[in-house]
Amino acid sequence: MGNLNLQVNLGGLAMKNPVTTASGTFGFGLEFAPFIDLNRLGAIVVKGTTLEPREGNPTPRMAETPAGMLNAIGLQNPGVEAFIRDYLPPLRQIDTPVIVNLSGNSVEDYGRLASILDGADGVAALEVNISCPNVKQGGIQFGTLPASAAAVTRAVRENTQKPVIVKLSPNVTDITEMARAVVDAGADALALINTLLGMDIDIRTRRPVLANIFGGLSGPAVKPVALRMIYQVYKAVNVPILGMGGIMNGQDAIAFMLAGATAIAVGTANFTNPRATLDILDGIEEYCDREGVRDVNELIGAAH
Amino acid sequence: MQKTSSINSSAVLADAAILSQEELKPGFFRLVLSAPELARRCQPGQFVQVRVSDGVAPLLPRPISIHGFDGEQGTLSLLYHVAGQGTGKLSRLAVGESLKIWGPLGNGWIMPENLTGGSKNLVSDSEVSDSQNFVGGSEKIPTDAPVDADKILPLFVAGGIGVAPLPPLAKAWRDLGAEAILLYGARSADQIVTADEFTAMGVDVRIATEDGSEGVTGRVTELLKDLNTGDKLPLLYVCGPKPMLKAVAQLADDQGWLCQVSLEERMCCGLGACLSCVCKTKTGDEKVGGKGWTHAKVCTDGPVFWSREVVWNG
Ligand SMILES: Cc1cc2nc3c(=O)[nH]c(=O)nc-3n(C[C@H](O)[C@H](O)[C@H](O)COP(=O)(O)OP(=O)(O)OC[C@H]3O[C@@H](n4cnc5c(N)ncnc54)[C@H](O)[C@@H]3O)c2cc1C
Ligand SMILES: Cc1cc2nc3c(=O)[nH]c(=O)nc-3n(C[C@H](O)[C@H](O)[C@H](O)COP(=O)(O)O)c2cc1C
Ligand code: FES
Repeated sequence: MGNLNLQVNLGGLAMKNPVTTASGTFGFGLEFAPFIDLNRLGAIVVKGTTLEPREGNPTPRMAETPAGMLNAIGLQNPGVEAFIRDYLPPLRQIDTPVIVNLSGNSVEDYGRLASILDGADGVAALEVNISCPNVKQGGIQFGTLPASAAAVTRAVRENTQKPVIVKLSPNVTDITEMARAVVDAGADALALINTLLGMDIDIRTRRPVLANIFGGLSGPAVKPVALRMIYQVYKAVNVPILGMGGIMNGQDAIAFMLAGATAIAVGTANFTNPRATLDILDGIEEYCDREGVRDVNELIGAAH
Repeated sequence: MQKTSSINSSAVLADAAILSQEELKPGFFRLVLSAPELARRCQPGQFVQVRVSDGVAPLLPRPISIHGFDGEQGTLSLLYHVAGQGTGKLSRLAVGESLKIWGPLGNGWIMPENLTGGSKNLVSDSEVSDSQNFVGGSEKIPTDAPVDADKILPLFVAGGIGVAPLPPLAKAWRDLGAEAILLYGARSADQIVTADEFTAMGVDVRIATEDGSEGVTGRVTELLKDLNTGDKLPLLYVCGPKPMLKAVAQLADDQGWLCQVSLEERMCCGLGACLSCVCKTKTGDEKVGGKGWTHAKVCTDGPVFWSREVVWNG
């Protein structure tokens, strides 16, 4: 196991291993410090950040579903200035690159966020969440129209020197069309998948369970969809992929890499086990050891 | 501004062996676990996350209050009511089996030692209402002057399974020799559990049931109405369903009593990371053009809040 290479490169971001955290499930990182050594992670992706602070949606904001969960947090966050002032300094003490997930209401918002974060010391890369509503076009999601997704990507690309990872929404007919659009617009890497739009109904109250009615489905229930989309996108474009969607253990992570992921993100699993990230990293190492793999990069896309 | 400091820095993950599991009344269980490291770190009013299965059913952990802890014995007890899949599965686990738990989580009740003059935690009413950051369980006292623990009448108010997090608090006040009262409301007598244990600690237990099968007929607020507080200032510690918390908080507010409430929300992480568990708390910034409230996290800013922090109609 001693001479196993775990280092990967995610579109210009050098990582000591392929394990990252999924935005929104790991807070601003330090929340998990009592349970794991944050220095061991390949990267930390923090909570989605917007220009202005947001209070998010009313409760209930989450519901458990078979092998998964629905969330409708509504991007509650302190805003980018407070993030840089209050949350980034302690993160700089950790020897792990920090990826900031950003969201906006307009193409201009994304551009401004990118330029503010470009100047922030301690931000290693940007992950662009395009699964939020485009207010100007009447609430349609940027991530569901190739032209808007490309416009957002371009706005970020033009305002930062840092690696740009565009996070795709699975709520589309053809994921490869979206992938091509954002890669052509300058994305260095892709992240997928974001949550699948879903809902639940309480048959006792005869009302939707979430205050927001709809929420994003995540967890083991979405894994087959995530794997399929990563497999498709790996064939369609030539940039690295950060894979996520229901990864619970090392075996799941390996499957994602075989489908085409260069790195993986752990989301809902963090809630079921605060040590999930490092258990998954250990699982990847064990697999490589057992299978005689000397370099994790050998695994990427090997299922094709 | 949101607090960056609300992190459960003393929490640990444990494989806790089940030492006993007892059904106190139909559907009400007490579980005793071996978790030495965790038990040593507990404060009254905190909770743990309990992973009931290794698999996906249920997927998420269930937040359960710490009903008792013994640092020397290394044990922890939980009192729970079977509400659905998770607690149902928990109730079927047997002695010798173990389960993953993590904690202690959250800010507990304000303790007698934090009430006395000179405590670093004291702030005055005016500071509280001007604060942009009016969140946090036991850190601030909404009164003008430091309060002396001798002048306080500790009043525990429980609704149903809300009795669960109160015994460690009752112990702390008993150790000071305080005269304390438990007002305990439930639908009927078969939902009253552990009342005798409070009596054994010297707590004056008063019960109200909605069907009149034990104690006074009606809700717990009936018991509050004709309470003789003598020359002491009541400090209410309230845990139960939200409508009850709200009613009791209003009553306490009208009387000028101190009142802490333990809130519940659906949780995923319990660590302040996912933001699923929020409640509205006052920020006092209406005057300066703010909206007057913010979304605080029940898991790390609470679960215990001063009742006056909470926005009850929102
Ligand atoms: C900080 C905290 C401490 C708690 N302490 C205790 C305790 O000491 N003893 C105890 O019995 N219970 C306690 N609870 C409540 C307990 O977490 C829920 O009863 C449990 O999660 C239900 O899980 P389940 O799978 O059995 O039921 P589910 O099938 O998940 O739900 C059953 C019913 O309970 C509702 N529900 C589920 N979770 C919550 C919640 N967090 N708040 C309000 N309603 C909910 C559901 O909507 C549903 O109607 C606590 C909750 C919190 C947030
Ligand atoms: C509670 C919660 C909050 C989330 N918040 C964000 C977010 O702010 N930005 C984002 O791009 N994705 C967000 N996501 C999506 C996750 O990052 C991830 O894409 C998704 O959960 C799939 O991975 P998983 O099944 O491992 O959780 C959130 C997911 C959850 C469960
Ligand atoms: S449960 Fe995740 S923030 Fe409170």
